[in-house]
Amino acid sequence: MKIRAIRLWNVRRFANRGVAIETVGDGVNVLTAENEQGKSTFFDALHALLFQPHTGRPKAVQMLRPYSGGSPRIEADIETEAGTFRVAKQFFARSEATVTDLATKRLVAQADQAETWIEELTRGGASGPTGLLWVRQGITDFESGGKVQQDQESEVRRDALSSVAGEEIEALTGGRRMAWIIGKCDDALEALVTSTGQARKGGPYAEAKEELQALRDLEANQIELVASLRDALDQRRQKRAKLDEIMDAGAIEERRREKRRTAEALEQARSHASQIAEAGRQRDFEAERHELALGNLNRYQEALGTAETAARRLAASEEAQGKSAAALAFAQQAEEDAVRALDRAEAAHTKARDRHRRAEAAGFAAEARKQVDAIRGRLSKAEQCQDSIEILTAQGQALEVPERALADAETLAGDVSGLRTKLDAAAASVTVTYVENASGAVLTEGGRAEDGESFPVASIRRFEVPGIASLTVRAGAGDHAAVAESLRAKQKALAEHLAAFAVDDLAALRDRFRRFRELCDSLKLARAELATVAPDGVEALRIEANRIAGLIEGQALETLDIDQAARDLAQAVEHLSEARGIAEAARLHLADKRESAALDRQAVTHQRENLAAVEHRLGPREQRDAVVSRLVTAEAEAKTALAHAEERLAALKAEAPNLENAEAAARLAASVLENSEAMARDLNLEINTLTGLIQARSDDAVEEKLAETQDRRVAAEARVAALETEIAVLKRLKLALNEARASAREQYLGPVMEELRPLVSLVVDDATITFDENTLVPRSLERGGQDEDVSVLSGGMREQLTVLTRLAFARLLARVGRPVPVILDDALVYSDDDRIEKMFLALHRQARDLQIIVFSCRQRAFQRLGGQSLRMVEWTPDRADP
Amino acid sequence: MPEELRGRLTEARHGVIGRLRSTAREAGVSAVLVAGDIFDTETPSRATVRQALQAMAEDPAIRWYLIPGNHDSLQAEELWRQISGESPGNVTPLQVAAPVALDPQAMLLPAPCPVRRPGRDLTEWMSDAASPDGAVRIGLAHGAVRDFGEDGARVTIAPDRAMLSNLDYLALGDWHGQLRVNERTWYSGTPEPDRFKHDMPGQALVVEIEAPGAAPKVTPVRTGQFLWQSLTLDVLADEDPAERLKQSLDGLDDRRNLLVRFAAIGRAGLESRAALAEAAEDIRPDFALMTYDDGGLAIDHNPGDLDAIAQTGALRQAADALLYEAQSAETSGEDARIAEKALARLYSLSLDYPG
Repeated sequence: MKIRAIRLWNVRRFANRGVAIETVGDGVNVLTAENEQGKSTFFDALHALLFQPHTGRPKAVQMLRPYSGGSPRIEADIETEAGTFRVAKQFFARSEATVTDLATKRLVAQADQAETWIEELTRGGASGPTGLLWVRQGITDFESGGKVQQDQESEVRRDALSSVAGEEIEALTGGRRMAWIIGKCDDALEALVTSTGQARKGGPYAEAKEELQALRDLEANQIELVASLRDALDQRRQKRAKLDEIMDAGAIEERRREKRRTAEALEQARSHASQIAEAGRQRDFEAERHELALGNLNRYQEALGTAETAARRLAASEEAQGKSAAALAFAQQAEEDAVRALDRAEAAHTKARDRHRRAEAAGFAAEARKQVDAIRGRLSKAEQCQDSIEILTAQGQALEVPERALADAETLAGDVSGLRTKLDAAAASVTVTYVENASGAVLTEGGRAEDGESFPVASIRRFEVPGIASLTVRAGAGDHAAVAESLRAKQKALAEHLAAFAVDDLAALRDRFRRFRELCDSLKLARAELATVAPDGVEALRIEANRIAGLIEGQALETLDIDQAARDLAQAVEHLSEARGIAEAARLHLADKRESAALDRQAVTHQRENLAAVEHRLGPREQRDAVVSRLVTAEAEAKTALAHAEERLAALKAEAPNLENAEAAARLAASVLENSEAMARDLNLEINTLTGLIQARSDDAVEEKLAETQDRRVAAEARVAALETEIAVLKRLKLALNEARASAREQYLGPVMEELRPLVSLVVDDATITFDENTLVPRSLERGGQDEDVSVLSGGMREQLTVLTRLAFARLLARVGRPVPVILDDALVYSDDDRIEKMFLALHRQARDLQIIVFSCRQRAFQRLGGQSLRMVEWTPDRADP
Repeated sequence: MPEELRGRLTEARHGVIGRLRSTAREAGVSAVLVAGDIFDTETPSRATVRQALQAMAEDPAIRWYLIPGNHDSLQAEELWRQISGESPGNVTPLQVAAPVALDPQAMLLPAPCPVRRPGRDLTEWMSDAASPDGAVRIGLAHGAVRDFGEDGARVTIAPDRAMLSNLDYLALGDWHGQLRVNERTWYSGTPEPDRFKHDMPGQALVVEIEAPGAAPKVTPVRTGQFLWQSLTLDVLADEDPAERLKQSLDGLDDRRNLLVRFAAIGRAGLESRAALAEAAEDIRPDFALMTYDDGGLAIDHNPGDLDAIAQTGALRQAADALLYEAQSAETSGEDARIAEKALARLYSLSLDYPG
């Protein structure tokens, strides 16, 4: 379908007049005109022609009517594969719709038939989706128009894609049925699990799992209860068996009999033990008595021996006492001798030490005097140097000629000499040459001119030839005079320079300089000598001399041999040390002897006391033998009695029963009896406790409850397993459906993506469009790794995307032999200049086999679009109802 | 299992004593021999025991002889103390292996279980047990006559005990199903089953012995209220499974007291499978309990089934992928099962689509 012409009569601003766009060509057609020129009127009129029934009065139709009223009429020449037709509609009064074959001028259809013809043209069949391809001013998306229009457009897109894919999209993608099934899967899954696969709280799966867990917990608890019940039953059984064993009547009597028997045996053993204890005590008494008698005898005989020993020891002590007294006296004498020798040694040492000190002092004084003399010598020398320095300094000041001054004089003298030479060279000269034997001589300036002598004449020189003439020679003017003047100036400067140093010539100045340098050298020597003699200055030297002199002032001159004095002192020290050692030894020896003497005295006293005491105990000597005899008899009697007691004790022990064994046996028997009774009590108590527990558990029917819980747990496990299978089935089904749908999406969206991709790349680099599967319009734009929803893109970007997508669909339709025009009414209002040029490129790219009609008020910008330029012309219809 | 059904089952187990009593009265029987496992546990609640004894006491003309089984052995001292202490006059708990005269012409030789696993043939003593001349010798025991364990170490009751011990009849308990061991030896089976195991109704045996040495006349009588039935429906691909299901359930009356575990195996197309599931769902309310498992039913690929989902497009692609996964040898058993179920679900959802 291609539009070849559009004509309007009495439409909106064109009241009672007609306007037309004729000769619309293939490719890009552009109508640019300022605002309010009627571009959009053409767009709206064409839209009404194709989509509004001629009998209707909807708003879109009413808006076509001019203020003055009347019946708007619209015509369009449309080229299809079947030919070129003129479609005409008139609204309001005398409304009509006609379709005329232009080739045959035959009326093809009118009224409702014409509407049907138009509807087939615009919505289906071979004519294609107009709604898809119309873009009004400021349209930036695909959601314009009412729902019906949106659905129509969506249907057209679907139809276009189906045509390209060779299969209905509904069938290809599964369509609503697929969506419904996926929705059912989602609903079923959602009821069971969350999006992360967790059991949905409150859902059947979560409830089944919770019930299973609760049953498992309950079962575990009941298993514990049953285990405790069984354990209690086992324990009670064992305890009852044990109790029966304990409470056996024969066993009880046997335990009691054994207790009585062991108690009697214990009593007998204890009685026998008492007898043994009594016999033991008798034995101990006799033993003690014998021991006493034996002790008395032994002590008396021992005292006899002791008395003899004491007498011998007393004699020995007395002898030792005598010896120690003599030794003490000798030691006292020796100590006194040693003390005296020490006194002497100390006196000698004091004397030697004094003499040695004096010798040291004398030596020091002599050395100090030498030092004073030496310092004073240096002081005298320093004072001389100081005087010389003062004199030389004064002389130097008088003769001082700076080296620079001499150099200046030398320079001036050189200059004078140079100028003089120069003057001589420049001046006239008179050479006197005497003839042989000349009688006289030529005089000049009071002197005789010698033969061959030349006299320069700087200015005027007079020569006298006595007796003959007086010759005046003038040098004349010129350079000679200037040199002479310079010479005089230099000479004057030199004279003044020399005069400053009170000399007449340079030689004298040099001599003065030489003498001045000699003085300087002397002065340097004098200062060096002074620094050597008195490095810290003359005054310091003088103070040092006075200090040392002060140290020895008043000391008498004494001559002592210090070495001899030292040797004498050392000898005295040695003697003194030796004497001190002897005295200390003597003192110690004396103390030792005194102690020995005291001990010996003590020993004598002690021996005497011992002897006296023993003697006293023994009694009179004449009775001592009788006492010994009496003590011997008493000891023998005691010994006999002891032997009797021991015999009796041994006899009792030999026949004694084992008391410990008897006690142990009695304890054991009593313990067995008591324990069995206590054990029986305990067992009864424990059995009663267990019985209570068993009773309680039995009343609770824990085993029956456990069996029931286990049945329910098995059922709950089956339920959870069934739900898990259900979840797996739903997930698997959903996965299969999604995979299949994704694959189908690739298949049907591929062609439009293929068309759109190069168009989008003209506007945006490296961008990918994602389509909404339901509306089949762009949903998002992915660029630079960012996926942006179309709704958040800029107005310009959305506008461009809207146009490009339509161009892509238009190309798809053209590809399947259903070319349709793309009509843009100021569709690129948001696009900047740069982008609009890229859009122009896209329009031309798609316009190869399409018809694109562009209305725009942006005349300057759209000049660059190129294409065929359209213009509005006056038109009068063949039939019009003013 | 719904709580309501659980309560009904409990009540049925309690009510079986009354049904046994009625059966005995109707058969003119004066003694009911209970061969152990009167209770499932060693520690039933006092109320359970008390109510059971009260139910037995309701007809004093009928005497009950009880021996401990392996589940309620003599180790359950508390239980047997209560039974002994609270038994009415017509109930005789037998805790000792010693002859008991049922009447002057009949001697009962009980073999009570002392412990859960006695480790010996408790009926051996019957060979040495004396009985009055002319008296019928009846053994009453609890335990297996065959060893079903893998190690074969379990000591069992001699299957020919009746012959060995000159018994006119040996009444056995332990096996929940009813079983004739030989002419004189029977397991009566449980009077009220409580699980799917034997696919038999609860029964008892009415045994009549005319005289010593005479062959006993054994008559099974139904005593159970509920029937626990496992049904397997082997479906062939070209059968109508829903019809097969209907046929398999024909004759199953009293469905209110019927617990059915229904498993479909074999092969079926998606349509048949869905129809079978629907039929199963349809009859479910008939029963006290019905479970349906078609996990053993393999999908028989029928192109028409997949066409019913979609002939082309993404839905068909998804269906093909699931079918491939369900039938591929490379898919693990569990994954194949899931894929198969997913395909069946896709099929049923496709049919449910309202558009």
